[in-house]
Formats: sequence, structure tokens, C-alpha cells
Amino acid sequence: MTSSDDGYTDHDGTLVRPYLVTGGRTRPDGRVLALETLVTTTQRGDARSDHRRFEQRHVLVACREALSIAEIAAELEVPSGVAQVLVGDLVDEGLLRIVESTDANEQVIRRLIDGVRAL
Amino acid sequence: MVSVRSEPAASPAEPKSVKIVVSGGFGVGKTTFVAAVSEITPLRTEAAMTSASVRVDDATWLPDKTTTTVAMDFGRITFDDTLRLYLFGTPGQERFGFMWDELVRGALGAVVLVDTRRLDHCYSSIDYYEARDIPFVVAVNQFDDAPLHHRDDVRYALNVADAVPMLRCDARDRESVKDVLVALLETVLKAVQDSRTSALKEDDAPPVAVAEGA
Ligand SMILES: Nc1nc2c(ncn2[C@@H]2O[C@H](COP(=O)(O)OP(=O)(O)OP(=O)(O)O)[C@@H](O)[C@H]2O)c(=O)[nH]1
Ligand SMILES: [Mg+2]
Repeated sequence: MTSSDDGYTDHDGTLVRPYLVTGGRTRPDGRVLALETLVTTTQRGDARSDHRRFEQRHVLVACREALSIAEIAAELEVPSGVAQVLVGDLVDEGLLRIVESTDANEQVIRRLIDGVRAL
Repeated sequence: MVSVRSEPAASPAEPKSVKIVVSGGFGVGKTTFVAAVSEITPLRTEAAMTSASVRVDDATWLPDKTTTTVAMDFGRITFDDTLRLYLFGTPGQERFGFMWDELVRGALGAVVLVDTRRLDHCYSSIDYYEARDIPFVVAVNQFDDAPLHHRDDVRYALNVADAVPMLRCDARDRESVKDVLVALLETVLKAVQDSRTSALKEDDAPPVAVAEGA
């Protein structure tokens, strides 16, 4: 993707992505990139860790181990809304994958109780 | 940070994340609470408050003039390869209300920290969770110069239901924070069990109420 034909190019040629920052952006499949949503680098993403943009490259390397949106935002020192956009784009490119979330069933909660007690 | 992996594709043990939010008034000990149990030093992330053009460019983001940011602290506990708990401190100020919706969406439950010198500072948190049927516990932080209140007096002053656990807490003390989290998780467990029971009664009801959007 080049920045000249994507409709987001500013008058001075830098990439600008206007969006509503109030977060909770919904994916095409209806899922939301929440702050705790985990994403991980795909095999294709692994091969693209030479991504030409610094932040994308950084995310693709960092997410070889699954990280949350919040951690990515903190790591890049950008607001969470910016991390959501960045991650969303990388998911669309097939370079990152959203890790399926869990629902809060009894078994999960029991594991959490035992886990916290054992800390 | 960069790790060499033997198998690049998804491993069978996928991590799952769950979230608990920690709220309460300004300076009540939210960050201290998170730090007491987090395996990472609480990280800070910011959310911008208004609609804005944000430049997603190499290492720069430039919010426009109308944007204010609000900082949230968060920590993490990794139990094993398949389960992680994230703890998010909610911003103290009420005017960041909209952020709460995003922060709280999908949370298992909430801890409301209370400073007995400023009881009123936690009203908005309690109202928020009560109105949305989100399981929560009240943790009464005992600051050194605060008058000692009887727990029943605090409960009366806050007007919370008897079913809501109320614990004394020292956010600086790991064991104390663990107790609060266990009390919350037991409340969450009960809520899940109750909703399952009622779902069995009316079998077209959703099976789990607390996991909305998670
Ligand atoms: N005595 C006592 N002091 C505490 C306790 N919890 C926090 N403190 C102290 O209170 C001060 C504020 O704590 P923070 O954790 O920064 O409070 P906060 O809620 O994150 O503050 P904001 O994010 O600014 O709203 C720190 O100096 C803590 O050491 C407690 O349980 N007992
Ligand atoms: Mg804080």
C-alpha cells in the first residue's frame, strides 16, 4: 500500500488517518478491538517484520508473543485509539491476527481464583 | 523482546485475556493497587477524548487542538500460557465518563477503592456499576490519617447492597490486594452461576451475562 493513493494523504504528503478517537472500533466481523484484546503476528507478518514503517515493524516483532492493544499503545507511546487503528490495519493486511477471546465461564473464573491465591 | 520461535504458526495453547477494572476517586490508590499484584510495572496508555485528526506516521501522532488525553494505568498477571488477567485503573474524573464505557466493556467485574476521608469521591463509580449490573466489591483503603470507620457505617454511607462485599484494604500490600481480587472473583463466579440458573429456567435467555463483548 502506498500512501499516495490511499485517500489519507495530507497536503504535505504525510499519512493522515482521520478517525473518531472514542475507541472501541468494530472490526468488519463485528468484533471490537478492546484494550485487553490480544493480537499476535501471523506467519505472513513474521515474514514482513521488515515492514517499511517503523511502528508497524515494531508491532510485528513485539507481537510474536501475543500482546494486548493496551500494551502495544504503551510500547509505542501512542494513545490507545492510534494503536487500535494501527493494529486494525495490520489485521486487514493479514499480518496480525486477533486471538479469539474467552467467555467468562465458571471454569475460567475458578482458575483465576486459584491463580490469584497462589500469587 | 525479540524471541526466536521454533514454530512460527499459532501454537495450540493460545492465551486468553480477561479484564478487571479498578476505580475510585483521585489519588485513592488505584495505581498502587494494580502495582501490588502486576508482574509488570503499571504501564500507562492514553486515550484521546474528542474526535480528531490523528497522524499515524512514523513515531509521531499529532492530535488537533480540541483533543485532551486521559491516562489509564494497567498491569498484567500471567497465570500460564493460556490465561492472563489485565487490571485497568479507570480515570478518576467523572467527565471522562465515555472512556469508562470502553474500559468497562467486557470486564469481569470492578474494584471500587474508597478513601474514608472522601467517601463521596466513589459515588459515581458505585452508581455506574450498579446501574449496569456489573459485579463489584468495595475496598476501603485505610490511609494513615483517616478516621477509623466501622464497616457498617461505611456501607450505610455508601448505600451499597449487603450482597456487595466490602473489605478493608491496603493497596500497598500484595496480600491485601489479593484478598480483594479473590472476593471480587467469587462475586463474579456467583453472578455467572446465578445467570446460568436463571437461563435454565428461561431457556431462551443468554447463557452468560457478564461476558458481554469479551
Ligand atoms: N496509607 C495508605 N496509603 C496508600 C494506600 N494506597 C495508596 N496509598 C498512597 O496514596 C498515594 C496515591 O496513590 P496512587 O496509587 O497514585 O493513587 P491513584 O488512585 O492511582 O491516583 P490518580 O491516578 O492520580 O487518581 C500514594 O502515595 C500511595 O502510596 C493505602 O492503602 N494506604
Ligand atoms: Mg493512578
